[in-house]
Amino acid sequence: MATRKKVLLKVIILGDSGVGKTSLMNQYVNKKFSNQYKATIGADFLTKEVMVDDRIVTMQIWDTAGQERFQSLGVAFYRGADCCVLVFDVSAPNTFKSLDSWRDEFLIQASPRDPENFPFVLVGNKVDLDNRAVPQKRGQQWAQSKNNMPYFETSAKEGINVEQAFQTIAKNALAQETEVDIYNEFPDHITINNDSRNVRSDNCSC
Amino acid sequence: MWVKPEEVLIAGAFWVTEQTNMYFAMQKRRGHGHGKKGLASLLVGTIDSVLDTKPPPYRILHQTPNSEVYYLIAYAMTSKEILEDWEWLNKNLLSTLFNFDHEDQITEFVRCKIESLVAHSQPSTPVLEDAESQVFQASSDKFHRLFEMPPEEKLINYYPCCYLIKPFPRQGWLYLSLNHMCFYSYIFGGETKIILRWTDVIGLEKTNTYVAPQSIHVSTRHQDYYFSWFITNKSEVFKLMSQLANMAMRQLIDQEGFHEDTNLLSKLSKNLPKNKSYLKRDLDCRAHSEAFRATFRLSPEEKLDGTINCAMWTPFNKRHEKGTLYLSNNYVCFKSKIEDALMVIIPLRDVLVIENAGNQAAGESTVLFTTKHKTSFLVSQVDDRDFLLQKLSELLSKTHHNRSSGDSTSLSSSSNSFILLESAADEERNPRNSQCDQVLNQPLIDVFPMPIHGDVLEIETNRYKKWTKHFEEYGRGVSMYRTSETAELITKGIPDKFRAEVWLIFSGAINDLSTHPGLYAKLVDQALTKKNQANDEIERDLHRSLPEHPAFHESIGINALRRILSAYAYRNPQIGYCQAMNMIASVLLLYCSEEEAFWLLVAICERLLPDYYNRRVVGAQVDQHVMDDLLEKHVPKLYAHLQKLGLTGMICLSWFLTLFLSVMSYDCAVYIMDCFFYEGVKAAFQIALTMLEMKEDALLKCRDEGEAMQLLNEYLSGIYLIKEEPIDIGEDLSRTPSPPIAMTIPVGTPVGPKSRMEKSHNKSVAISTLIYESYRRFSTQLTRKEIESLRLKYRLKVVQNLEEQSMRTAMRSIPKYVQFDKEELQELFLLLRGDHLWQVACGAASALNSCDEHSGAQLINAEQFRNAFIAFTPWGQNANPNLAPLAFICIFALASTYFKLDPIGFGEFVQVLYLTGKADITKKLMFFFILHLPPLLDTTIETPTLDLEDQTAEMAAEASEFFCSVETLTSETDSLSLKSLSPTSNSSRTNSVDCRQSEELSTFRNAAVSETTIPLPEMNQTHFIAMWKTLYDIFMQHKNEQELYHAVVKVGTLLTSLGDAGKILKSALHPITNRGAVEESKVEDAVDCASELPGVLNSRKQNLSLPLNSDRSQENVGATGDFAEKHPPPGEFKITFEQFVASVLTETPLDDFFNEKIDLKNSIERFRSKRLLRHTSLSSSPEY
Repeated sequence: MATRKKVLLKVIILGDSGVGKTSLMNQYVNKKFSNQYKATIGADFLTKEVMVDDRIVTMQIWDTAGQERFQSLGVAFYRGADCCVLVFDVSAPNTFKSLDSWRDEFLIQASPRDPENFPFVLVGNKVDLDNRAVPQKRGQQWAQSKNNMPYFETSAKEGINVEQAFQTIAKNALAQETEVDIYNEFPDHITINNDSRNVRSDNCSC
Repeated sequence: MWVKPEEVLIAGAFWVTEQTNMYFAMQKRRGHGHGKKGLASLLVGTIDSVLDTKPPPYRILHQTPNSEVYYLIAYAMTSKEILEDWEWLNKNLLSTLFNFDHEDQITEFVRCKIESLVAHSQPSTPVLEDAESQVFQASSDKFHRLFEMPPEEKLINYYPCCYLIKPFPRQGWLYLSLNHMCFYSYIFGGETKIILRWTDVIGLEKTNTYVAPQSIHVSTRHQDYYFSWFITNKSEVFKLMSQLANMAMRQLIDQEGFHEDTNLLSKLSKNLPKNKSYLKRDLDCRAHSEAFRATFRLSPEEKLDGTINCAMWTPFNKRHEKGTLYLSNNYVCFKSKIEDALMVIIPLRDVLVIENAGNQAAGESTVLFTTKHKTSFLVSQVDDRDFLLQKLSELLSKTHHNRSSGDSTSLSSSSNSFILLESAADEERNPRNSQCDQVLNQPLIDVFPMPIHGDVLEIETNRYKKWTKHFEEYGRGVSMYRTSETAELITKGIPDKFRAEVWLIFSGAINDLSTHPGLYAKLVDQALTKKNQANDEIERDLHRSLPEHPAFHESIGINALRRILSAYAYRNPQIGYCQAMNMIASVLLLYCSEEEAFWLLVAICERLLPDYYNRRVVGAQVDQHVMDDLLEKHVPKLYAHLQKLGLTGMICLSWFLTLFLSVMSYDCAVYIMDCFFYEGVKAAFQIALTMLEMKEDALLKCRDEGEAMQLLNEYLSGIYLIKEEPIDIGEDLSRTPSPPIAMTIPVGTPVGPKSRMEKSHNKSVAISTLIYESYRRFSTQLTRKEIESLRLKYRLKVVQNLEEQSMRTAMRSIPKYVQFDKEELQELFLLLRGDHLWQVACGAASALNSCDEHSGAQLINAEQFRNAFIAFTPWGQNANPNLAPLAFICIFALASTYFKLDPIGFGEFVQVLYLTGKADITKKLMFFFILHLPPLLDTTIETPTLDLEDQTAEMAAEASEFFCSVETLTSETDSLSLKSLSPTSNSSRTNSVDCRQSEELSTFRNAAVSETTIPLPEMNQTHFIAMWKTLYDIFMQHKNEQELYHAVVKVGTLLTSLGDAGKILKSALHPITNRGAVEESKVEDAVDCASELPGVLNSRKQNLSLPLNSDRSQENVGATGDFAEKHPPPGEFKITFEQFVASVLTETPLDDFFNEKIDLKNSIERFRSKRLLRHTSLSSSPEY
């Protein structure tokens, strides 16, 4: 069905300051952990090529600043995102509480075409720590309540579950991307698709 | 008001004589007042308006019957005033005048008498009034009259201009005041009035188009205005307007009102024109002082006192450099006429002697300054030496008075005299001898010396030599001669050993350091004990600041960083802690002692990068827009491309915020910091523009934002310290590898400094080359002035954008069930926000706590709630105005308990609005019913016992206290007998009960909101009576008050009997299992009861109507209390919601009342037009 052309996926990582966004990204892309990262100001990003369903896709992972006062500044990068990763620190309940506002803000600023079904992934990071404060169940419940988004518990330090999380991210992002591709290439054939969810009134690129 | 008699030649034109006698005539200006009919009046009105003659509308003339000459002896703004004067004349003067023989004598006598009256009244007028010229005073009065401004709104200046509007332009007057911009024109009977708040202005620019030639364009969210044909200097008007608009923006950022500088009144400067308003002078002074402080990097307390032209002797090249001497409270500064040729700052605290040097006979006017560091400065060709010396002696005595407690020496300007000030000289001034031993006394690079290899060492030694030589020649310390040589030397880099010293000198931090000895240690002590959000955030970032340097792997560096950041957050809570400060602070700590680093951080956060790190990062955003503007001007092609990629406004944000520390290695970035401390933010703009320009070609090839970011990241992280071989810039450009991302598989692509472990790879450009290029390309093209004016321009935009954001946040907080028009809600939000800002500006409200700390979202306190509730809701609009404050505090308290928030947010307010004004009748009644149910009412019912005359705000505070403190509730039992009646046993209130209550609350909230009906608990008698009282209060002013009253009594009676019936029933049919069946029978029984016991019912009716008639709630409570005691309930009095609704709906007036729908649009309009009047009543202070 889909074309064999190269696909670029844009993934945004959001979450409070210090939950380990930069570490997760680097663990995934560079397969290493360092405690020498600086706090992210503005935004940073890395790219990685991955195989998803026999296709080579380039993942463009954007790492954003977490401090509250920078929240409104990162929004310029949200545009055109294919997937959004929400990260919290399982040892810091406050970072879990602000997930709602990160999600809302993203949906408003990125204004995806289909906000109901936009792929989010929830990541509870730092499971290697002993002082865990947010039980797994709470994370699961929250993820379930938000359109059943996938939930992963990771440790960027130990490299636990990071690969799996990003695989899912890539997959979901690609699913989103593919749908868009179909329309871009076969704009006249929309009607033959019976899945009503996919029929959109606007198929322009804005 | 009596005036010094002056001759008036034509008495008739423009004036109508109202009263007259033999010697006096009282006149009124034509076209004044409401009776402006007829062409003559219109003409006079137009002439007055256009020419701004603005005579007071009433006057008294004196004339003797045989003379042609009239004398104006009094005028007044109102007819009442003039009548008083007229009466006085008749009573005291007229009889005397008949005794004179000659008319000349009469005139003479009248003139003398009036003059003496004027002289008498003079001293009694307050000093402040003298500050304004009379002409201005008259205009100011007119301004207040025309626009119904409250007296505390002060006019700054007014200008004749033309408002360009179709079909024809209106000539009139533009009035600029602190918070408003107003325009008034009156042409042949057609009035045009514009009132804008500065906080509503979203754009301000000079335009020159065909439709609007040479005009000033002001835009708000709703409309655009063009003003043109300025007779006075247009740029002056524009300057003032942008100054005021920026002050308004500051108000939006900081939530601070304007505080005028009263010191200015006492200041008598000879070169200030007198006809300006005092505020205009104040504002001008502010602008000048600000420019002065920015030039010489002085702290915000410094106020420019005056300037004087002169020349300064420069010993290093034996010349007299022409320029200007600036005097301020604590500094004497010199700046050469030729830009950057020479600059000297002499702190008065360092001045030892000021002497009158040179040969006076030869006409040389020379002044010699000697500092305690044994250096001297010779200023010659002083325009007015005596004045300068006098000023200097004043300033010096003040400075030294402060320092040496009264031991001041004065200077007589007459001869060659000396001032000797020793007190300062013996003070130890070495900052490194700090008493606090926990504070680091040395730079971290001294503790952790980095191995330096050959080349670097050589360069470093070279630099060291050059700087030592420079110091020898040009002096050292704060008062060194700053010349173009200094600038050049700085661009080549400062040796590590001198870095702290030079940074301190050029940033001005050295002044703070020496004037605040020991303050840092104190701040540290206080800050570290605090447990707050800032400290938590700091803690999290300590290890994420400069992880590549070994100093921050150990506690010595980490602890110093913690201290400095906490101390800063403590010193300036407006900023607190912002990420990026950690990186800057850690680099400062490398090169400076801790205290020095602290003051440098202060200089950066508060002077060099203003507003950068505050809660909404305003300054940094403003500079991003400035950067885009500059980029568009200098590298237009690249700008267009970046805009297409969606990268404008973002790309350099972190560069500026961290002074490039987050994007390149710190040992390179410090060279940029060297320039930054000398040049200010201009250095950062230069570097950023240069880098983008150098990479222009490569960037133009990028196809998406990621590619461009990657390219820049690589380039930045590839910047290296030492040029190994001479590289031509052009070649460098083409040689830099810039592979498109999609082509390669970048596993482990390094990003910025985060991958500094792989530093060696892909060198892009040497930092020295970059700096050199930045100066070569942009140093002359970019001026500080340009940056400043661009900042002014974009600050409006950024701040209004932020306002828009907080509005959107507020809009989002409104739940879906509220069905108001979105535009109306936005209007409402802006209105309430403006209202709040106004209160802040007037000092009526404290800015703190009124805004959500982070989102800046508006919160509504009790006072605002009351105003808005009266204005917008049907319940409020019709409510009894006397009881109003009380009732509203109750409703506010109820609402805030309902939402569990105090103060409530905008979203909650809108919900109240909806539930009282727009929802369907059942929902409205349900909301009303719920508000009076426990747990909501239990806590608030006591508010009526408060003194009515208390400040409403206090009431709210107390009301909210009731919610928190259970103790208060139980201790005040005697004040309220209701407690014992209340079936929900208050005594057993515990936390678990509170828990249950909050659960109940949320059920209630759901009940009011959801479509399906959720069963509500029954209401007991106490609450029912309270509810009935509120009901009565809210239609007190309604046009159908009578009918409503009857309906309320009727329904009330019915419900009371229903309640009693339930009570009787309950005792009879106990226990009850089938609720529905019981309800049926209850109603029947109630009817039976009513018919059977008319006597009882009547007595109850009395009881019920009693509280309704009484204004005092106390009586009400007492009456019910009595009633309750007389008739102890055998069972329980219960009203169900269904009963309540059913009986209310039986009465048409009540049904209609609750069915009334709110017209938000009209209410907003009404509120808007009324708000100024309302503010007038708020003000208590007299005009001056």
